[in-house]
Amino acid sequence: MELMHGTLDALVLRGLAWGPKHGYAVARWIEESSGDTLVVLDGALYTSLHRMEEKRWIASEWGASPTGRRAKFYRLTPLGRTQLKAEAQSWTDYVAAVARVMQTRTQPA
Amino acid sequence: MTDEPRWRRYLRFWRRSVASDIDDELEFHFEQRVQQFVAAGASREEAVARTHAQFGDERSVRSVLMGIGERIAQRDDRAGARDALRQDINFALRSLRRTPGFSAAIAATLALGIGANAAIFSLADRLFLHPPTGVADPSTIHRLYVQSNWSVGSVWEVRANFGYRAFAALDSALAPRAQLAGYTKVDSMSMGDKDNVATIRGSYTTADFFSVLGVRPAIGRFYSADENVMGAGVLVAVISDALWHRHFSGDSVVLGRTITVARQRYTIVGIGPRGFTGPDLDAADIWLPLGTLPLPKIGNREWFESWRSGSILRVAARVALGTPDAWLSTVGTTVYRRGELAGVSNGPDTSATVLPGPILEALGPSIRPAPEVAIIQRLIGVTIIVLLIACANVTNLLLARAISRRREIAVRLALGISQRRLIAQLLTESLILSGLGGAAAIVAGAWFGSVLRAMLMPRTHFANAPLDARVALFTLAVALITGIAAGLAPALQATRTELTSALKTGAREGGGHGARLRTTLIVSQVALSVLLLYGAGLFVRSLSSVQRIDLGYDTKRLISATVDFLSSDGPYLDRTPHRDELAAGLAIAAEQMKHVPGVEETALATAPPLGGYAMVGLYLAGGTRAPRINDLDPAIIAVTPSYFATTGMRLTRGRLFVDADATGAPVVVVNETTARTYWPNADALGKCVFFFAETAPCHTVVGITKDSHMGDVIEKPAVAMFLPLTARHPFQPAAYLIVRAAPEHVTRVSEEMRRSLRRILPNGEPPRVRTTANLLEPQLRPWRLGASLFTAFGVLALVVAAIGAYSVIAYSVGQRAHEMSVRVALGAQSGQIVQLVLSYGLRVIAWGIVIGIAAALVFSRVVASMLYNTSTHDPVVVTAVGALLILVAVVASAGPAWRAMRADPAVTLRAE
Repeated sequence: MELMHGTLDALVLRGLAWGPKHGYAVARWIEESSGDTLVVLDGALYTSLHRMEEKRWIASEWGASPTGRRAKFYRLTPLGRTQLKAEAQSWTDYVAAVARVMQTRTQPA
Repeated sequence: MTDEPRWRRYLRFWRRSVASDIDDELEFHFEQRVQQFVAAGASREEAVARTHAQFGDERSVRSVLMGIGERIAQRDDRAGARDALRQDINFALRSLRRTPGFSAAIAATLALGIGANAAIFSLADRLFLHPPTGVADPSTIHRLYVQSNWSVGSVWEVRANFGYRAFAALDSALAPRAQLAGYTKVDSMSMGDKDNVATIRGSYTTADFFSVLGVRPAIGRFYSADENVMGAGVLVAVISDALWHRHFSGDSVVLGRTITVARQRYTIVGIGPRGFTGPDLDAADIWLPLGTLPLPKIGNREWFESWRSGSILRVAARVALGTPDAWLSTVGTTVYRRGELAGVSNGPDTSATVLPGPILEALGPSIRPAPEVAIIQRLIGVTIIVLLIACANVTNLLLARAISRRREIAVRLALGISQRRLIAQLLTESLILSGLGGAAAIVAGAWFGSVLRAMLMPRTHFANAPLDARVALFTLAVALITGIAAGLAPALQATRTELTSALKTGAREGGGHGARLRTTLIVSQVALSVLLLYGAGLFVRSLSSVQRIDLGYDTKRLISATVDFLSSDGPYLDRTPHRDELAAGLAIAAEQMKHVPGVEETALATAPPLGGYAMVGLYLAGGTRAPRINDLDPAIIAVTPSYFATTGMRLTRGRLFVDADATGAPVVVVNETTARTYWPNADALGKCVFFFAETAPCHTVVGITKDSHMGDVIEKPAVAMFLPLTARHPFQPAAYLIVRAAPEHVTRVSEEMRRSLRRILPNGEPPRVRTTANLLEPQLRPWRLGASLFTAFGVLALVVAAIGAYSVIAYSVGQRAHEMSVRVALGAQSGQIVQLVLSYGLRVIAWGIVIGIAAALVFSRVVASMLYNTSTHDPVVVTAVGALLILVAVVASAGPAWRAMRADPAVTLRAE
């Protein structure tokens, strides 16, 4: 399933909500939690990460990966946390609205 | 990466590059993916291929990431710099607060140095930089000057004045490329009627004056050419915005009202724009058509019909773009010389040259600038020297402190702070100090600037307040430069610390290099202040020589008075028809004044002391015409017998007049110069002189008086002769009443004279009463100004240098406290300790004195033209300045010496 435009940022923020992660870990988290149904190109993922770093939604730090390798870890900033809440809310509203429309039984006038 | 800016490449040295960060991040990602796929059972080649497929277009992603990375890196750099600056400022403020006395001393020193410059800047700005307010496009306006050699001897003279015919000739010759305006120098004029007179300052102008300057009226209109026909001008006036507010309280119905100026009734037709006071430094309140200028005829001709007599017009030319200065000069000169040939019968000036100059008067091609301008020019140099002294002082204080902070700095270096950062921190400190000094300087400079304005340029309109954005900007710029200049050397010195030695020795030892630099600075400070004090000394000497000039009168006691009468021909003064009425009135007034308390003596004369005289042809025995000396005609004044006692003129030989001389044989009293010049090898007494013609009756010389000045404080000796006031010859009747009063009563007696003359001569104009001191004041003013201003700055420099000398001596004593304690412990007497300290202070200051005086002897040439009868190599000034500085050295050393003497060696040695 292709990702809808504009939702990748929200997914990445959600992934980082659990704690600092490097890019590969974020990618894996999205794949696993979607049951491998969402297709995200890794290039797009890194672009999203870096853009959000520029917007100060997330901050990065170099650290050691669990395997001892040098890796770049991202974490949410307070600004990013606020953003995540807003994205999550608007996604819920969007889904609810679409669902209401899809489930409606009345004939259009 | 070829488009990478060069500075970024240098940045690499201490920051990882964006590209390598991306490389590392993605490399890690690829490895993890490959491992993941291999673990899922793929071959290595398959895993790599899938990893790349999963990633997408790697090149375009990389380039996007690079762009983002660069932006983030730049942002971080800026934030880092901001943080560092904030830290530096906090650090500097903390360390300055720890030593409030030290910080205040530095800020105050800088405030004085920078403030002096700010004050002078506001004057120099108006003189040399800022064109007159309201004049449009000032760069295309030129003033015209004429350089001639028709004045005294071979001295070439540059004048700014032209006769009306010369102006008219130039105007038509230079049109249309240059449009000319003529106007008279701004002068005092009476405003109002007979007994209700105020003084305003105004100028008579041609009708083009306003259009040439590009000025538009704020209200109403300016006068037209029709209203400015020479000899038939219409009495209309344009007043300045300032006069409108001052005198008419900004009333909008002022147009059409009349105003009496210089005894003529003008109708106000317009008001100039706000701030416009004419093109000159002297501000005008009112402008009047030149055609209404009331001047008596010169000979049989109106003043404006003469080529050269009545040269009263300054000329401003609006020049078309691209017109070379040389063209103005060439065409102007040709026309001018032709006019001289045609218009002047007696010695036309065929070598005259017309010169253009800028609108800024002070930059014009004059040979002898106004004394005020000359003073300001020199003061600019003086204030720069004061600033240099302040700078050296601050550098010295900072150096001394940097050295006492050696241990702290060494610790910071050992803890890994970079040198660059340390220098930045130390510079921040000195910049904060200079900023504080600059802020104080703006306040001090504004105050001092307004004092200087009132002293040096009282008649000039300043468009800006003494403190405006320009001055503030200038001040802050000077403060910034000063901060860097004064802080750099100490900062560099401090960071060139040998870590181990600094940590080991502590605060005790000053580096040898630092000590040398400090001594050099203090020597140059002292030398510079010696230079300024020497200059000040010359001005003081010059003023006192001027004041010591024997004018030949008791100037403090003399008051002279006369009454003018309005001519029946026009609105100008002419008392000739009223001379007998005046003489009779003055005689009555003289009698009355004798009974006024405080009056010691009264006399009548044809001219007052220092106020002019008559010149006539004079012949000696044998029919020879008496020669002129010093280019001056013999001065002849007829006086009553009491004249000599009244004025305080002293008799050398022979006798003075008695009442009988008025009717007896003709006699004359001459001054010493006359006796010496006309009868060099014989006794003047008993000799004959003949007035007007060699056939006139003989006037026998009966007395010789000391020389007295005829017009000016500074003048060459002139031949002067005194005759008794009699009805027999043309030197009569009396035109002036001269009263000798006790100095403390001069003001009251002057008032009494005014009232008395007004009562006795009610048909005349208000009496003119002048004390001789009043007459002298404008002449003495430049000398006083020079002496007081240069002294003020000299003392300022001395104070700053003295603070510097004190602090350096005190500091060096502090540094040597350990050594001195050892000496005391080993049995040195307190006298020896004092000697030790004094000898350092005296040695440093002696060098300063020697170098300063050597420099002063060389550079004093620049003030030579402003001195009277004072050599620029004046031994008295050398001695006085030297003595003063030695005194300063002793005073500056006394405190530290006393402290060193009183110090308890046990305490000092234990403290280490």
